[in-house]
Amino acid sequence: MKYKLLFILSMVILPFVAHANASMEKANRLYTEGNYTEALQEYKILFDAGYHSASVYYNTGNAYFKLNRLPEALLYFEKAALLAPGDDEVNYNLKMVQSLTGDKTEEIPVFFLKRWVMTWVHLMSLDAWAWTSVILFLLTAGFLLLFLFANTLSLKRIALYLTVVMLIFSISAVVSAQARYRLMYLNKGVVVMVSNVTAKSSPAESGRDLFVIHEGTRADAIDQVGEWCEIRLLDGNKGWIKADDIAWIRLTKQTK
Amino acid sequence: MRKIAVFIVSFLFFAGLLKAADIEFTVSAPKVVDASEQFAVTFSLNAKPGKNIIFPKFNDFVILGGPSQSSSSSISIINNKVTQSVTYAYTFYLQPQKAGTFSISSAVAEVDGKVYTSRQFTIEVVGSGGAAAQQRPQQGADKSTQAVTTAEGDELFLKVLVDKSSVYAGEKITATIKIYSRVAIAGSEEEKYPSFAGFFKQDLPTPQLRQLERENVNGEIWYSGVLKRMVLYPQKNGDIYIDPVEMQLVINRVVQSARQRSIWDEFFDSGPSYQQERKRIKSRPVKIQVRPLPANAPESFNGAVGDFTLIATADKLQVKANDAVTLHFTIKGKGNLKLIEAPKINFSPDFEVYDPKTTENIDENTGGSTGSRTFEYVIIPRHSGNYTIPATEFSFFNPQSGKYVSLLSKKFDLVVARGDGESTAVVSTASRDNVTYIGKDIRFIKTKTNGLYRIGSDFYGSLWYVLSLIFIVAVTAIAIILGRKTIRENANLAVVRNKRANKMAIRRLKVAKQHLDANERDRFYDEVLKALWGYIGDKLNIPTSDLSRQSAFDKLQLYGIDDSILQNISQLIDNCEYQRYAPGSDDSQMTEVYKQTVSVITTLDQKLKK
Repeated sequence: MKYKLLFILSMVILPFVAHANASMEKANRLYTEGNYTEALQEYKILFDAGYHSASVYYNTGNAYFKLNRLPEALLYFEKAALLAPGDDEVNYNLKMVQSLTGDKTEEIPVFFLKRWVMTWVHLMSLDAWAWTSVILFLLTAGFLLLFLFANTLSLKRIALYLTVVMLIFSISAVVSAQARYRLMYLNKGVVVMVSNVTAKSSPAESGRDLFVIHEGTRADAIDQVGEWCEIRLLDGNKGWIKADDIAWIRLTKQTK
Repeated sequence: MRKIAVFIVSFLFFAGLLKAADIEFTVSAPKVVDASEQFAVTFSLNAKPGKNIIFPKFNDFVILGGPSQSSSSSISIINNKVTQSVTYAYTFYLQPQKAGTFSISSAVAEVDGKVYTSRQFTIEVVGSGGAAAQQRPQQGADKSTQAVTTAEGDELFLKVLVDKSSVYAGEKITATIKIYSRVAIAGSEEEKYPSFAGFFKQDLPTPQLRQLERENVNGEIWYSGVLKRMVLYPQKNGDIYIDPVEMQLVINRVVQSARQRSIWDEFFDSGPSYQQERKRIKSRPVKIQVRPLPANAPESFNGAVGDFTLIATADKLQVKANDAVTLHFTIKGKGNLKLIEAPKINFSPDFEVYDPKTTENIDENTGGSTGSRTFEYVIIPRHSGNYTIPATEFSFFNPQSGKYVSLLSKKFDLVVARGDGESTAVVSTASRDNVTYIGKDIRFIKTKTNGLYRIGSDFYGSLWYVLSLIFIVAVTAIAIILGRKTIRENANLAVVRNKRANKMAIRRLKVAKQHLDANERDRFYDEVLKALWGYIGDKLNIPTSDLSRQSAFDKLQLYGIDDSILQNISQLIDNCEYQRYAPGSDDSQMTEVYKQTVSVITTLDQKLKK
């Protein structure tokens, strides 16, 4: 029943997706010809229509790069990395832009557990985790039933053990999916978009100047008060800057 | 007569308006004369002398005539100021007796009680004297009638004089370009100076040439003048040549009159007549031997040649971070100052250093560049701490001694206090050190267009996801419930049998039908009976051993089955039994029996439904 509905839904969506594909092809062609501004417009159409993919973000980043708008290029490469963290091309271009723009700050080394978790979470895409969790849940149910209705004691024991294991796996799959989801849609990462901005000690013009950062600098936005955002640089320094001066990496329906 | 009277009157009239000028007693005489030449020496006094003037004795000369006296006066009225100047001149005509250099002592004159003397001077006499000696160009020559264009070198040439022709590279040479002439020069049309390739040239200020002066060149009297003066610093090793200087001049050539000069001509002669002629002259190239500097130059040597001293000062030695500190390095002395570069100072990397500014105070004279060159360094320490600006070495080559000299400035200890809190430069500005990627390009775009999906249409978090999970839970729950029920019911054998009853009955009836179709009478009735008894027994859960008509009917009655139905059943059973065990064959009833059996079982099934 579910699959039939899904099939119908996809049949309805398919024409739209086909249209989106055509749009992307057109944009890619424009890019190849060197019309980067027009290619960007096509990509924007896709975003406005609500479509996205790692490739579109990546290509948009490329187009911005060719137009020498490095902060925007960095922003879109970061977005692409949210969807495809293991992609070689995304990572290469991301590193290249990072080396050309932004302030060089000493990065605080990330806690090793956090690093492991990040690696684990990035093993699969969001939907892959979702499906995995469904399958594991199904297996949990299956083993539970087996446990309840098995005739032999030994079978019951194995089934109980497997039920618990599968339950743990399925829960971890759900948690991983949720983590991925947060990384994609609730990401705190930001990129400084203006050529230079002074971070203050409090969310007001009268705050004391703490440090100056330049376009292309990466930071995390940890708080927001009115039109001011508190950001934390990669080396741990915090300061308040205007929200207008930065752009969020997280994936949203609204495009910049 | 009257003229003279007027003159005397006006002279006396203005005598009262006489303004006394500074009194000078001068003498003019040629510096160099030829031995056979007749020349004049004139003493001038710009005031009326009191008594007689005492003139020097011209011992080594023959006094041909003199002193002949002349006087002149002039009046000028400027801005209501009347100035009168008067000159009394006394001229002697002399001729030398022999060659050599002779000094003439001063003359003495007295004006208004004060005594004035003319200067002492020397006259150089050259040549042997005798008949065919050179005359002064201004006088008419009794030579052949036609004007002869003698060779260039004989009457006009350019010379480039250098004070040294063998120097070290970078050592100063003073060059003087002079023109020598024995004809009257009207003017110059073209002056072409060489490029002085291989030299660094500094022109020296030279007064414009107005008059040529007499000079003794190898026993001959020439008229010479300095055209240009310059200081040259050779920049290459080996033999360098100063290329020729070229000039095109216009000279006035004396034209001899064609006819014989009579006494009258000589008397009335107003002087020789001239004809203008163009001449082009070129100096000879001058070879300069440039010796390379010796090989063992110190590391800090950068081309400075001469003799210098070094002074270093700093404007302050105690500063706060981000305050500017100015250092002055002054190199003073003589030599190629203009070519000296700022010494390289090894500043700490914590300093922000700006390119040094150069100021100079150089005086060009024939001694070479003299003066000083100062380099100003501005540095800004960016962090607090104690720093040392190391002693800096400056080396030069002294051509006089032929040795390299190294000077060491003193070192400076700089104490930098913490700057004001304002400028906490936590992050450095852009332009990263990692230059590895420049020159490469970004990877190309991804051309596959699949993978596009709507934002927020992820499976995770979607309705379907939740539904599928709920679905699994629901299905599991149902499965559990049903399973439990099955177990419970399986535990109750009775229920099992009840359920089986229908199955068995249906199976048996099927078999019976087969027998019916196959016309197997015995087997048919067997099967029918089995079906009936089997069904009743299973449904009522009566063990086979207890199964009899009586027990069955009792139980059936308990279940509320009507008597009429019971009777039907009874009849049916009797019929079957009779047909089964009675001899003879009556097949006609088989179908009817079958139908009845089915109907009975169906009825019972309906009535016994729990």
